Amino acid sequence: MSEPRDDLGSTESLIDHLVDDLEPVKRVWSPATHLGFWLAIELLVFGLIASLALRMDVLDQLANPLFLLELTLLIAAGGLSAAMALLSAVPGREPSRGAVALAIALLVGSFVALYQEMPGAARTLASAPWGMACALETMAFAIVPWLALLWFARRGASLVPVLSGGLAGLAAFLLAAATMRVVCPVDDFWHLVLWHLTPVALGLGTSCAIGLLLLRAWRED
Amino acid sequence: MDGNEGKESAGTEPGARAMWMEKAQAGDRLAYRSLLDDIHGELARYVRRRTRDPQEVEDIVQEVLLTIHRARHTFDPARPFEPWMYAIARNTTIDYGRRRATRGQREILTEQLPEVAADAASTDAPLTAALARLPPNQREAFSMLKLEGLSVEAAAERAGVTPGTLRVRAHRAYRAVKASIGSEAEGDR
Repeated sequence: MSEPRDDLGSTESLIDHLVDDLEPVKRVWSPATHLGFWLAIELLVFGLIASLALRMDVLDQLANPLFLLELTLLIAAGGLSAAMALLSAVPGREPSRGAVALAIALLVGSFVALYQEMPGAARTLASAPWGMACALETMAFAIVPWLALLWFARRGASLVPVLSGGLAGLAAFLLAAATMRVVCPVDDFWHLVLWHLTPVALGLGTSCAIGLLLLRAWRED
Repeated sequence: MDGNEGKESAGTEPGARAMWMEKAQAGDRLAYRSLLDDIHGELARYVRRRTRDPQEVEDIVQEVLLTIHRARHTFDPARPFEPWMYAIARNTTIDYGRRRATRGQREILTEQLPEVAADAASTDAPLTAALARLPPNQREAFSMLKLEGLSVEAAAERAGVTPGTLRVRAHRAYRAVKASIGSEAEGDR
């Protein structure tokens, strides 16, 4: 190996230094492998919760096409967000606008299904003030999958850390909100919006900020 | 997206860059040098088309090379190299432009301040200020090599890193200091 030149500012000198600095690296898992592990974690968390706290009428609810549609779209949006979060941590594989638009469409579809599902009587504000426990449970259900997803994204090299962080938060909190739908027996539109979906928005915002701090650390020496 | 993105340069065999990077991931320095020598001209052309100031081209290319170095663990040899490289080049060029714009705004604000620091305008003040803005490990590397005059090996030993790592840190520090002092000089005009 030739001795690196001392003219610190030139590109040739930088190449000398980079070559000299080269160490073997362990290639990061593919986004698909990470996603597989993450879904396994998500299933474990769901299995644990389902074994302890499913709502009594869950089978009746699952027989309701609108409830099923709402849940399916919510889970699909969460899964797609997780896939996009992991893809966005690999340069050149950032999600396309089409994929982001699809996730938004799934979310809107889920919200419309939720709205249609609730009769007028269930859109009062009567039960809206009570639900802090639901918000806390949503956060508790999200925390492990959220941290896992952030950790997996951090193993990559995200060029868009806010987007990666935001998508990780969105994925974990959407699936937590979906889990809450089969746990919480309250079918009141405003209760669901305030105490089940607001934590999703908070999780998204927090995760964007964490992404900015955590997911660009790979650029620093 | 640029028309040339995703294509290899005329003189490079298809798949050669992916193969070089795969070997580089395993620690093959010869392959890594071949790769960096092969891509840096192409990166310079890419950046030149996207920046107004030709003097910035080399800075941006160096930033791209450093980013490629840091992100090399994410390259999948089963996929083509060019989309990966150009994603980094595009993002780094945009980031550089944003940072430059922010720096420009800061300079305008600084010009509006009263002359409170006039007595501190010694010849070393810009260097001291530029060093103060560096991350600690870069500041340490720069100080040991350029101010204390230590050898790379001695400085690396003191910092507890390999000589190569220390050189890269010093390189980044040098470029940051140069940019910082340059922008202050522009602001003084």
